[in-house]
Amino acid sequence: MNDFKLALHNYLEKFKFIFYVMLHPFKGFWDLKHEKKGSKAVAITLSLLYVLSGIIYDQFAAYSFNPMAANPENINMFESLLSTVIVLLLWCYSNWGLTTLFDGEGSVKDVFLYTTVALVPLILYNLIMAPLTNILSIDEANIISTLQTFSYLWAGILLYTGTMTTHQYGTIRTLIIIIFIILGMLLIMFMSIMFFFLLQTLFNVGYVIYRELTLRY
Amino acid sequence: MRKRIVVFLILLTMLLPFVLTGCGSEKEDAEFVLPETKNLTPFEFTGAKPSHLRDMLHKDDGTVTQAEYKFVEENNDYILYFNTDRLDIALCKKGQNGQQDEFWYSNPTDDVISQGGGLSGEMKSQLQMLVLDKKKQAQSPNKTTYADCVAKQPENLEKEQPQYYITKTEDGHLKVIYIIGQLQKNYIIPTIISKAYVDDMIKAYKDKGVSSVGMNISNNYKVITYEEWNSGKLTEKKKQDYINTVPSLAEIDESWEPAYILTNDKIYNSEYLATQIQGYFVDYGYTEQMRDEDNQKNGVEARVPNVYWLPLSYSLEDDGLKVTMKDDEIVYNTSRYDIYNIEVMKYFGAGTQQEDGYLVIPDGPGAMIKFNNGKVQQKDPVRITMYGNDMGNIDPMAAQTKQGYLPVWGIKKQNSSLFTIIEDGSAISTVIADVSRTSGSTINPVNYVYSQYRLVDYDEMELFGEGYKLRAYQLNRSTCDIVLKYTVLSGEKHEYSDMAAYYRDYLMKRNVLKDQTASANIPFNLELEGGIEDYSAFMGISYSYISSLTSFDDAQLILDELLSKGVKNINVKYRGWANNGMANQIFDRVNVLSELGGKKGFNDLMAYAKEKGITIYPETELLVVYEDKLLDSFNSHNDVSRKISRDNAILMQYDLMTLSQWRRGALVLRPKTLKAASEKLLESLQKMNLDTVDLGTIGYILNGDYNIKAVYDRSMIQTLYNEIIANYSNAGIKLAADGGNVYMLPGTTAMFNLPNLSSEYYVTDATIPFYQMVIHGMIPYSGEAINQSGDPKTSLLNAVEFGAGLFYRWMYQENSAMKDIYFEDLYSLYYGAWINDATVDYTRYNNELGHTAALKMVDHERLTDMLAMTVYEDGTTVYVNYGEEDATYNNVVIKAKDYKVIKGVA
Repeated sequence: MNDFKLALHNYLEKFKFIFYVMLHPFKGFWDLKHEKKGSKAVAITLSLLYVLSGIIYDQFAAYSFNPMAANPENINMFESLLSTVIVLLLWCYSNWGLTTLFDGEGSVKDVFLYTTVALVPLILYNLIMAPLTNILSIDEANIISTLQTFSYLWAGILLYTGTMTTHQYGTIRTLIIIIFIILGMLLIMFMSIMFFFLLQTLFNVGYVIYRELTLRY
Repeated sequence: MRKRIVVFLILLTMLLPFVLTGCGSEKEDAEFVLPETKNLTPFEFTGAKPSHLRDMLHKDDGTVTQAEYKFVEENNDYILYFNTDRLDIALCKKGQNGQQDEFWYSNPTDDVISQGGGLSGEMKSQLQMLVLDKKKQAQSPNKTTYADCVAKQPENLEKEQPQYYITKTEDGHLKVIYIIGQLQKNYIIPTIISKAYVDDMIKAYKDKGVSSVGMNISNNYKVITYEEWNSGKLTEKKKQDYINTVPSLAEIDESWEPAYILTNDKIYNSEYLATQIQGYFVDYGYTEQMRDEDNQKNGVEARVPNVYWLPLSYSLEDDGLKVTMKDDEIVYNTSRYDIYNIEVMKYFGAGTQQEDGYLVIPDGPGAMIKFNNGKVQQKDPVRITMYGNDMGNIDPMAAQTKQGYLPVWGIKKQNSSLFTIIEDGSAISTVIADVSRTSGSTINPVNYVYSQYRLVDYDEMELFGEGYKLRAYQLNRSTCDIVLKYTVLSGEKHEYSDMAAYYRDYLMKRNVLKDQTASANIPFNLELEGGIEDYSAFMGISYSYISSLTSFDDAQLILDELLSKGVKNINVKYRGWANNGMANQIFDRVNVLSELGGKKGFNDLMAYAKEKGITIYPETELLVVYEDKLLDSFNSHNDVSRKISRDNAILMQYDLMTLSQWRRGALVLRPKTLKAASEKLLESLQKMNLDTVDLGTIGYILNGDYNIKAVYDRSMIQTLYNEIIANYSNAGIKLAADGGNVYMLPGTTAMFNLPNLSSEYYVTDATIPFYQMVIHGMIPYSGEAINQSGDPKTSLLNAVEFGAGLFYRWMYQENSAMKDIYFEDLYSLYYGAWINDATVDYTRYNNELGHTAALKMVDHERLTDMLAMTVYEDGTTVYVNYGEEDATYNNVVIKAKDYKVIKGVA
C-alpha cells in the first residue's frame, strides 16, 4: 500500500513539475533530463490527454468555431489516437536518429518526455476553448484566434527549447536540426508507404488464391 | 531450420492453386447425337380447304409471283395456313357477320424483303439465334432458320439428309423441326500426317498422271519441321495457331518427324473441297482408324458438330394461334455450344412502309409506336426487359428503359390487330420493337415488335486481380418452354384499348384477376417511412441507433389529419416498421421496432386504421437483406443468390448526386432461403393477426440465382414467386404490390408505384395506360410518388389521365432527419410540406372522378401531343391538357395544365 502511495506521490510531483517546465523552459528541461524529474507515465498521460482534449473540443466546442460539432459521427477516437501516436513516434525516432549522428545527448525517452511537455499548451487551449466558444459570439472570434496563436507559439517555443536543452545544441543548430528532423519524418513515412504497397501486392497474391478457391467450390 | 519451414510453407501456398486446378474434375463430354428422324411422321396436308394464295412479288413487267399457303387446320374463328417451301405461316381470322377475312403472316412478302438488303435472310426466317462458343469464349454471328437451314434444303435433300422436317406433335398439330447449321459428314481427312507418307502419296499420284494433288495439298497443309519451327521464320501468333490445332507442337523437340498440318480449317465448309481431299487420301489407302490414331497421338480434338435441332409447333386454340418451342426438345452440343438468345417469329405481323398502324409495347404502363414515324436518328430498337433487369447479372444503372410488367404486345393495322401474349417463358424474354428506316446505317423496311429469349447468359469473371477476365457461363440452360399466343382482334374493336380489354378478360378467365368490388373513391396511396438505422458518435466512439422517422403515433396523427381534410380510400404502405427498419434484416420473423412504439403501438395503429376504414400494408421485405446481424438466421455466405460471375448478387443503392457509387448494398436471398423465410413470415403474420402485407421488392425484381451448386434461372424463380403469392393469398392475406410484375396480380389488392410514364424512349410516340386499362376498377393503383417528381402538377395530370390514385411518400420528421442516409428513393419526404396541396388536389379529383374508381376504363386516346382523353364505362370522359395554353376539343374548353371532366349519363 505504501508503495502505491509513494508511486502516486512521485507521479503527482512529476506531473506538477511539468507546469514549472512550461514557465521556466531552460532550467525545467535541464532538470527533466538530468535531475530525473520526468517520467514516462506522465508523458504517456500527456499524450492521451492531448488526444482526449482534441475530441472534447470537437464534440463540445460551439458550431460557429467548430464545424465538426454538426457531424459528431465523423469524430473517431481511434483515428485520432492512432494519428497522434504515429506522429509522436515518427518525431521521436527521427529526432533520436538524427541527433545521435550530430552529437545530440538525448535518448528516445528524453525526446519523448520533452515533446509531450510541448503538447501541454495545446491541451490547455482545447480544454479552455471547449466551454469558452459556447459563451463567445462570432464577433469575438479574434479572442480565440489570439489564444490559439499564443498556445501554438508557446508549444513551438517549448519544442525548440526542449530540443536545444536536451541535445545541448546552439540556437542556429537547433533550428537546422528541427528542419532535418521533419525531413526525416517524411523519409520514414515514404519508406513505410513503399513497404505497405509491397505488402499489399503480397496480400493480393493470397487473395487471388482465395478467390480462385471460392469460385471453384 | 525455422527459415526452411517458412520457405517450404510459402512454396506450398504458391503451388496450391495449380494442384487444385489440376484436381478439378472436368465434366465428361456426353456423346452428341441428333434425335432419330426415322420415326417422324410427316404432317399430312389434307387439302380440306383450298390453299391460300399470297402475292409475294410484283415484277416490273406487271406479273405477280404468288406463294401457296396450304391449309393446316381450322376452328370457329381461325384458319392456319402453311407454306411448305419457306416454312412460314398465315393466320386467318374468319370474317364474321359479313366482314372480310383478316390475314396475318409470319414473314413479309418478297416485295418488302427485296428492300431489306442484308436482312433478307433474316426476314424469311421464323427463328434466329446467337450462339455462344464456350471454348473460344466468343459469340457466333446470327444464325437464321432461312440461311442456315431452309436455304440448304435442296442440296441436302439430294444427299438424303434433310435440313428440316415438317411433322406433327403428339396431338396432331403442325410441328416444324429445323436443323440449323451445317450437317457435316465424318470426313476422313488427317489434321496431322507424316511428311513421308504424303510425299509418297503425291509421287504415286504423279506417276499415275494426276498432278494437281501436290498443289491441292500444299494449299491446305503446311509442312512443319523442327528446324523451321525454331528458325524464327514463324511468328509467335502463327505458332500459337498451329499449337491450337495440334497441341503436341507445344512440346516439339529434335525427335519431331516432319509432318503436314492442316492449316485451312475452312475446307470442311466446302463440300466439294472436303470430298476432293478425302478422295486423295482414301484412294491411297488412308483409313479412319489411321486418322484417329494420328489425332490421338498428337492430342488433336475430334471435330465437334455445331448443329441445332429446334422444333417449333403451331396449334390453333379458341383464342388464337399458339406457337410453342419446348425446351426439352431442343438439342445441340451443349458441351461446347450454347444458345445465347433466340428470337421467335420476329417479323410476324410486321407493318410495311405503305401500311398505317401502330405498335404497342409493354414499356412501363405501355407505349405506342406509330408505323413509319421517321424516328430513325437513333440506331437501336427499343428493348423492354420483361420484369426488370436480372440483378443476378446486370448492373442496374445499365437500364435505359423501364421494365416490362405485362408480357404482351400488339400490332394494329387498318382492319385488325394482332395481339400477342407470352404464355410461358416471359421471365427470360425481352420485347424489342423498331420502326422502318430507309436511310442511315441500318436499313429495316418494316415496323416490327417481337420477343427475344435469353437461354444461356454469361458474365465476365475477374480472376487474377489485374484485368484478366474470363467468361463464366450460366451452368444450365433456362428450362422454360417458349409459348406464344397470337390473337387477332378484328371488326370495330381493335384499338389498344380493345387489346387491354381482351387481355383483362384473358386474365380473368385464368383467375389471375378477380372482379373485386372496388371502392367508389379515388385511392389515396401513402407510403410512410418508419425507422432507419443511422450512425452517430459520442466522444469519438461511434454507435448505431434506429432513427424514428414516423412512429406509430406519428402515423396516426398524419392519418387523422388526412381524414379530417376529407381524404377517403386511404391505403398505407408502412415501411421500416420492424426488423431493423428500412435497412432490414431477414424477414423470417417480425420484430416490431420499440423505437417506433413497439408492438402495442403497432397494434393500436392497426386497430385505429381498421376503425377508420384505412388499409395499412406493413412492408416485409422478403427478397433482400441489408443487415446481416449476428445471431439471426441469415448467413451472408450461404443464403445469398450468386451472379453468373459467382459473386454475391447485390441490389445496389445509387448515390443520386453522382449516379455512380453505390452506398448501401442489399444482398439478394437465394431461393431456398427465400421460400423458407416466406413460410416462417406467414406464420408470424398470422400470429399477429395481420391480414395485409406488402412483400417489397419482389413486386418489380425478378432475380436469377446462378449458384453453380443449383442454378435457379428466372423462370424457376417466377414459379417460386407464384407459389409464395398463392400461399399468402390462400392464407387470406391481402397483398400490396410494388411496381406490379404480372405474377403479382393474383392476391394483390393495392398497387403502389405502377409507373404513369413509359421510358419515353426516342422511337416511341406516346405513353398509353395499357396496364391501367387492364386493372382499372379491380385493383386500386397509383403511380410514382408525387412529392418526388420533378413537376408535381404534371404528375397529378398524369394520374388523372391514367385513372391512378395519388401516391405520396411521407415521413413525420423533417427532411434533415435523412441527412447522411443513402437510400435512392428517400428524399423530399416531410409530410407537412405536402399535405395541404395533396388534400386539395385529392378532393377535387375525388369529387369529380370518384365514381369512376370502380368502373372499367374503356378508351384512351392521345388527341394531340398535349391533350389526352380517357373514357370510362359509364361514358364519363376526362380531358387532360398538359399544354401551357387552353385547348378546345369538341366544344369543350380545357384550361392550360388542367383537366376537365364530362360526366357520363349512365
